[in-house]
Amino acid sequence: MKKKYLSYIIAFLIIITLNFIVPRLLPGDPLNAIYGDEVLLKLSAETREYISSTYNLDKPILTQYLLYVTSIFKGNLGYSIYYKKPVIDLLLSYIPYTIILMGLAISISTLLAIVLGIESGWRRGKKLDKFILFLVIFSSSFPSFFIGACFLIVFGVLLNILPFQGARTMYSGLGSFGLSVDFLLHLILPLFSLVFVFLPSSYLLTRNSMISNLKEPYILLARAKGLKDTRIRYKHAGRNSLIPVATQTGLSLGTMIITGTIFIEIVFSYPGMGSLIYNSILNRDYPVIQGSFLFVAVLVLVINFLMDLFYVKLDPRIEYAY
Amino acid sequence: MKKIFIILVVLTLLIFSAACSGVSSNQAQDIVRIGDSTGDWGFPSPYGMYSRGPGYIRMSLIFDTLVWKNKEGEVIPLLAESWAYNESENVFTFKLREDVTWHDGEPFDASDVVFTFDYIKDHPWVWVDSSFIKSVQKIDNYTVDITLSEKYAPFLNNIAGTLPILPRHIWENIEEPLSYTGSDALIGTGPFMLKDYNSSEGSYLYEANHDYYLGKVNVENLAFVKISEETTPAMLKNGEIDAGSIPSDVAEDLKQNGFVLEEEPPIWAAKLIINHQSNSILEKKSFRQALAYAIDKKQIVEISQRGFAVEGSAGLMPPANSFWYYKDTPQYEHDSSKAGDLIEDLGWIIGDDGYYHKDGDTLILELAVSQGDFERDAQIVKENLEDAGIKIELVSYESKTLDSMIENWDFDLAISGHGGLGGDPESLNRVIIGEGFNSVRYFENERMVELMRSQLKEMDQNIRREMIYEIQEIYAEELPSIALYYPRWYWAHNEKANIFYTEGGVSIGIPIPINKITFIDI
Repeated sequence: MKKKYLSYIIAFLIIITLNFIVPRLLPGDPLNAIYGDEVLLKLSAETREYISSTYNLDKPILTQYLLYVTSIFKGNLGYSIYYKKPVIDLLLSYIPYTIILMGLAISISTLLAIVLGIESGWRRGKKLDKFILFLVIFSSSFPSFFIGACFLIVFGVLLNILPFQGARTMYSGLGSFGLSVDFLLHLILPLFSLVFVFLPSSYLLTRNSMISNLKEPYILLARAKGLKDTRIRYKHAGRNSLIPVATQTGLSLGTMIITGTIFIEIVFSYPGMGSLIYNSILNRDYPVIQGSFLFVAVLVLVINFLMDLFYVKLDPRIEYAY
Repeated sequence: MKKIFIILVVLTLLIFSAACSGVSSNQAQDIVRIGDSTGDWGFPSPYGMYSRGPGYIRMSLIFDTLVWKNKEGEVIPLLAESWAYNESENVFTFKLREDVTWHDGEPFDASDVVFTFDYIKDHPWVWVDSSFIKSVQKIDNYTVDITLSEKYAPFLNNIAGTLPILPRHIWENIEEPLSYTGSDALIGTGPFMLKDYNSSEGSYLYEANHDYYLGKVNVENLAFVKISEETTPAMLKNGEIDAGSIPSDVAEDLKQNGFVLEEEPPIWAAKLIINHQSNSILEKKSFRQALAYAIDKKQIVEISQRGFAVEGSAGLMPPANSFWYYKDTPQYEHDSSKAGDLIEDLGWIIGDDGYYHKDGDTLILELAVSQGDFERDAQIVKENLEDAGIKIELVSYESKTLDSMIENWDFDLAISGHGGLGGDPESLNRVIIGEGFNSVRYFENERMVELMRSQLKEMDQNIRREMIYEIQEIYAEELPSIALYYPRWYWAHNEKANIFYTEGGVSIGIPIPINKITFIDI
């Protein structure tokens, strides 16, 4: 297990270095990206110099790197050039939305995928399996923004039963109970669009491993013991089908946060990390790119670490592997 | 397993309550809501706002300038009640209003004005070039003399009407204005005060300043909320917002539904950028003229822009900027044969493949566009140029990558665009002889460069206009870039939000139909 901890530390060190290098490899620089577009601005030499020195952009690259690394260990993620505020404040204001939206979307889609996958795999080739399989494959062939847009048009505009813009009705004069309900209502459309986006891969994985598990001798034994169908389905075959799903969810978390949410956030004007990262890349806002990728990377590391612990619960054999 | 589930539920609830906290329950009555697809334009202080037009507009509700513009674009008094220009000494004298107080109750006077001009010398403010200011002197409590370092024609618009006056008693202690967001950072003299700003949700709530010196503020609360442009029409119809910018295609429908349309003066230029610096074919003027003849701008406007655009003028200045636009600028009507003649004059010979060749080389140029923008335009330009015998390779780049390629002259042809052509023609200088990727950086024609520099110093508007006319004429002849079109953009609003476009743009030339004057009963 010690080796394991060490590998996490090495991974972290590599991540913070890559985080520093990669944004700077993008063509263009923050000053041009942020101020260059606006013809009405007067970016004189003194102004450039003033802004560069305020954000340490005029220092040699090695000094910038050392400043960056030392401040990370002091818990300081730097200062956003575009948003003009500490990156940590910026992240803290966006992260709650992403955690709520992503956390719920991943939990709901994974649970749903597992149940559907187990039932589908159990009934391989039967009507219900064919129906679910068709539905999932059909919906997975659409890009996420398209699913989002369909939900928005149908439930938001045509039926007009759900709010479809933002995280809540701004300045509505609602009381605190009304605000909570309003917040939940605003969550529904983006949440279920994401569930639809995330569902197919976990479903297909569960279904596949369910099918191969059902061929294992221990299933035959369970049947021979006269166990009930549901018990075999969920306790025996189902539980063993969870491992690949858990691995896959843990690994793809980073991509889910960045690529999965961004379109949904744009379609529903929902605040969150996706649009923050997108904007910071567009503006070459190095400190924000660094900070948000660091957050995502640390999150993935933590989840993987938890997964490592969780596997042992799922499959006690793993403990003997160390 | 159960424990993990309970922990998850508790965590979700905690985060949920964190997200909901800080929500002020503001009253919904007497509120005008304006939709915006970006939402967050920064903390609305002069140094905190993001340096774009919408950021300036949000700041301008709180901070006042010496002068301002009315709907017709005429300069009107704001903090200054009158002004005079002494040409021989190059001094502007401003007589200030005596009845103005800051939002915290402190009186406003000449020392605040002197302070602000001094402050931007030490802490450059990107919207105003302080090098034109030689000195600012307080004559008495309500009179200031601003001496310019050289003659500067756009002074009233681009400095006096752009620079927000800061309260000396607050800002004199602030060393790092870019990061200052203290509670007193938003003390101004303007018609509104900020009640709430949420950067992650991109929303602003302003309340009326009942002591405003110019008159009664006729909107109690003004809000900006984040919604995508595509959903703006639905939100307008639902009554969830009162104004917002809309996709051009739905303009007619909204009009029939009783909404008022505001058409933005088409002054944003989409241009074919030409590498006249380091490409041996494109550095020839007659070849660039051939490109202009080969491109069918009408087709681009009708097909790619679905009619919602005005054809580009060869002189760059858009016709919508009626005071400065030269209507007799020579234009290039689409004519492939004229294009062919010009190319043949340069020694190219048309081959069997339909493309020109010279010394065994085919005439090939790369046309770069940024992903998602101008791709339809680029297709038409490619077809037009290929019809004229120029082989085009269409390549698409991420937008900032393309900007940086343009800046480093690392391209042949590109389609890109910029705004800023609706106000004072100083912006022509920035896009013709300025630095950076938005400028064509064209210095080959000495007469044009000389005219550009001297027009800034010409204080007589009519003489200056003649100079601007000549610049357009030369630009059309030299063609360092080809203006393809100026798109038509629309805002829609109901009767609650009485917004309008300001002739020449708000302040320095911002083409957004929110001029604070509309919220004041003068």
